[in-house]
This record gives sequence, structure tokens and C-alpha cells, in this order.
Amino acid sequence: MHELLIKINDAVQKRQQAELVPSIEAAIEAGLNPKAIIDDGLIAAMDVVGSEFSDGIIFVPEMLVSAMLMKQGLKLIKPLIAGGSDEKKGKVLIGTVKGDLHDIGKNIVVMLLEGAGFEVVDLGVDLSVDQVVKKVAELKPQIVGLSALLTTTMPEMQKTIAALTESGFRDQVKVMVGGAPLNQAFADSIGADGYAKDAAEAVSLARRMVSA
Amino acid sequence: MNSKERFIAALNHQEADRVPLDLGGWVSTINVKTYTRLLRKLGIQREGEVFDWLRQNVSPEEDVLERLGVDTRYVHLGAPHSWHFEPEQTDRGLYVTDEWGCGFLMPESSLYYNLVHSPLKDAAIDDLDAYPWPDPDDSGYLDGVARRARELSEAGEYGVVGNFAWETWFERAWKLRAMDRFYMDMVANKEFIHAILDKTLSLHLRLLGNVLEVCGQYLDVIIQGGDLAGQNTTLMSPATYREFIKPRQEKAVRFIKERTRAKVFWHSCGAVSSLIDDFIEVGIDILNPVQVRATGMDAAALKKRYGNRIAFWGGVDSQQVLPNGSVADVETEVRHLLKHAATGGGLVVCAVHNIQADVPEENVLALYDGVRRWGNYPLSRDL
Repeated sequence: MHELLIKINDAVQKRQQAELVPSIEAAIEAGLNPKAIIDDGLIAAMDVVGSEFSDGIIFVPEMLVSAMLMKQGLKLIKPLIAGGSDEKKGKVLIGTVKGDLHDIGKNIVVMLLEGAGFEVVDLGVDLSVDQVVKKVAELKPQIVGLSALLTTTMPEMQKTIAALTESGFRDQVKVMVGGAPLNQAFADSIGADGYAKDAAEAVSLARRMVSA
Repeated sequence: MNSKERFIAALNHQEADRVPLDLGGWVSTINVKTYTRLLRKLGIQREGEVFDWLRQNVSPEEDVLERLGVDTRYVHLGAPHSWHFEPEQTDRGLYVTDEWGCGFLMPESSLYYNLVHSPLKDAAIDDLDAYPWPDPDDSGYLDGVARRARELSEAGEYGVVGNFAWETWFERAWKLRAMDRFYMDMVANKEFIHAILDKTLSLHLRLLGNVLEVCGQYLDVIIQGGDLAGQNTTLMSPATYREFIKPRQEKAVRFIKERTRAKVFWHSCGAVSSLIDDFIEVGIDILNPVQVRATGMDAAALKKRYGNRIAFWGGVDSQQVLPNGSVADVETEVRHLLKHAATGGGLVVCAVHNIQADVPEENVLALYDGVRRWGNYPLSRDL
């Protein structure tokens, strides 16, 4: 791999903030393929960051900083890709369900999915069933991700899935769920397509869902 | 043996007549809706009243505490004179700015207020001095505190717990900064984190000093806390915790113990097992809530590992058993906890967190009645 790609990868993975922008600028100057900068520099770095997070080697602070650097890098490179549109791994619509305003975990999932090259539409928090259905109709994502921290709002996930079924969209999307009080058994019981116990697992799950 | 003796014995890692019970604290009370249902169930014809506006929880009344066999009684801070709870109706829901300038929103769909505005999100260190901090010397905070503590202490019937957490210096700091920004700064802007924690801790200790001056001698336990972990692991690395939090925990504990003989209680949700040795080292006496369904937080394993070095307070699962389980499930949970974590004392039982609005009132009763039925020493071999 080109030395500059290794430097970019390291800057994100090891959180060397001062190195990132100069390395990317040098890579662009050197005529490296922007897609390679994204895939081998940024996405590959975030893959490592994700598994280090999952394995308890790094924690929320490190993860957030790496994700921020990855975003900074993407911002520089994106305009260089023909027509401004790059090839995405898939589109994910994500949000915290109605009655729940907790979003730290969901935001980390968003960052890692973006870091893995997914196009993520973050619908925010306190998301009504109708909002989800409307956005699915409008944006046609492959995946819908639902988050809840509260036991009191977990039932909203089932309602959302039911509404997707009623509106005829259920077989066009995969639904993944997550949040502290959830587990696989709950996900199965509400008819979700997948459950992830942390953000790195959510990325693997999303990858499986779009390649299935 | 009365409640106070039972409570003190347990915290001193001795077996009293039974395992003590708690309800009514900062993190061990009950949602107003569930409380009202519980009142009906107990044949009491009044409505629950919100005491903690942020979480929409009550401070349970004496008749309920007696019926449930609760061994603790709380002394809470008074309301400041310089700030009043004035929710404003907005198109997104009810909105409150608290005395620190943080904004909280309760949409119609939500059961409580949620942090939505962090006033120091974009601040630099130099901005901290000019920030309009709340006044820890506001005499309103002391309203009724000394009298309540003295009366409870002189009556000698119950364990007296001081809830002066004031949302705690650690949680307050990240609420002011916004959680994601705060956590990022722990890596990328360490000086700011040290500065804001120094500020919130100094305000907290100033208030605590005022409170302890008027009632320190009457208290058995003082509440401290701040969430350091999520479901699977700590939120920050143990090294980051040791850099930012532990030295300040130590300072706070020393401050408290110089002013009172009360034991220090630390609340942190989540999987904190990698930090418990540090908690013991700084002088924390009690760990709450022992979130038993979080990774590494099984009460049996923790009891085996820590024995009488730290007391556990909480332990009844609020993520699955209390909201979704049957009465029999709650009883099984209670018996499991008693069997594995009550031997030799060192255990106070309550739900892992404030009892939420989705918990059936029967399950609340099953928790309290269960401990009174099976929590008698010597513990039965048939638990």
C-alpha cells in the first residue's frame, strides 16, 4: 500500500489529528485514486477502530475522535469523486424510537456505519412510526436501524415493524435493532431481521444484510 | 432490631435480623405513574406527586415506606431561592432551563425530561470563569435539611441517607459540555475537561460543605455518583478514568469523611467491574446499583471477589425482570440475589434503577415482600 495511505490510515486509527489533513492533501497531490484513499485509508482504519472498540481496547472517547477524523477526511475527498457521488455500500435509515431521546449509542453506530462506507440518514430521536414509514417510502433504504435505551420505549420497535408491514414496505427493507436493554431474543420476538450488541457488530450485521 | 440497626449492620458487613431494603433515593425511587398504581393496589386513595421533575419520580410517603418495609429515609436538598421550576410549553414539548443553564425537553411521548441543550458545548477554558454558575451558597438548598436530618437521627428508627448529589460533579460537567463533546475532549482537549471538572467539583464540594456543616453528624450515608459504564463495558478506559475521575472521587470522599462519619455511596450504572478496586482504593464504601444484567456485574461473582471490602446496594434487575417478568420471576431474582450476595451482610436491596413506568405494581410488591420473606438471617438453605 502507498505510504501516504498508510499515514492516512494511521492518522484515523491512532488519532493523530495533526497528520490527517496534510497526509490527505499530499495523497491528492500525488494523484492517488480518491476511492483508494477512502477505502484503504479511511474505511480500513475505521474497521480496525470498530473492532478495537468491540474488543474493549479502546472506548467511547477514542472512538468518537477517530470517527470525527474520518469525517474530516471524507469531507476533503468527496468533492474529488466524479459527479460528487461516490459508490456507497448501502443506505441505512436510523433513529431512536418514539418516547426515547437517548442517542449516544445510536450516534456511535451512525459514525461506524459511515466509517464503513454506508450512506446513513440519521432521523434523530423520538421517532414516530409514521416518520419512519414516510422516510422509507421517500428514501428507499436497504436497512432501517432502530435504537432504544428505555424498557418503556422498546415496544415502539414492534409497532414500527408492524407499520412497515401494513404499508407494504416490510419486504423491501431489513430491520436491525439495538440498545442497552435489548437482546437477540427480543429482536426475534418482534420480527426484526437482526440485533447487534454494539456498534461494531451493527456494522458487520449491516454488511451481511446488504450482501444477502 | 429496628431498621437503623439493620441498615448499619449490613453496611458494616454484619448479618442483622434481615437484609435491609431501600426506596426513595436519587436513583432508587419510583416513577409517578407506577407509584400511583401502587397506591391503588395498597388501597390508598391519593395520587402520586412528582418530586424529581427531571425524571418524573416521587419521594414515597411514610405509609408506603412502612408497608414495604423500607429501612432507609432520605434527606434531600431544598430548592434554591434563585431558580424556580418553570416549564415552558413549546411546539416540541415542555422545556425547562435548570439552575445550571442546561435545557431539558419533555415531549408528549416521553416519560421524563431529556437533556437537549448544553450551554458550554462550544466554550473554551477562558469562558468558564465568566459563566453564570449557580450559587452553592444559595440558602434555599439548606431549607429543611438540618431539621429533617436531626429528627430522623434522633428518632433513631431508620438509616439516614443524604441525597445531595445535585446531579453530581461528573454528570453535571458532561451535561454542560454535551456528552459526545465531553468524551471526545477526554482525548482531544484534556485541559478543558480538567478545568470543567475542577469547576463542577469545587461547586459541588462547596454546597456539600454547607450541608454537612448543618447536618453531617446525623447522616449514615452520603450519595455520590456518575455513570461510568454502559451495558457491556466502561464508557472510558480505566486509564482515562484514573486520569480524570479517580483523583476527584478521592478528593470528594476525603472531603466527606473529614466532615462526617457517614459512609460514601457511589452510583454508576453499567459494567463497572474493572473499576471496583479503584472505588475501594479511594474510600468508597458502597457500590450502587450493581446492574446485574450488564457484563461482569453478576452479584454472585462480585460478592465472591470483593467479600466485605465494599457493600452492594441495588441488585434487582430493572432491564428485564421488573418490567417484563412475572411475580414469580421477581421472586426468583430476589432469592438468587439473597442466596449469592447477602451472606455476611454488605447488601441493601432495591431495584437496579428508579422503578420505571412499565413495571407492574405487583412486581414492586414482590420485590419488597420477597426480601422480607426470604431475606431473614440466618439465610435459608433453600433459597
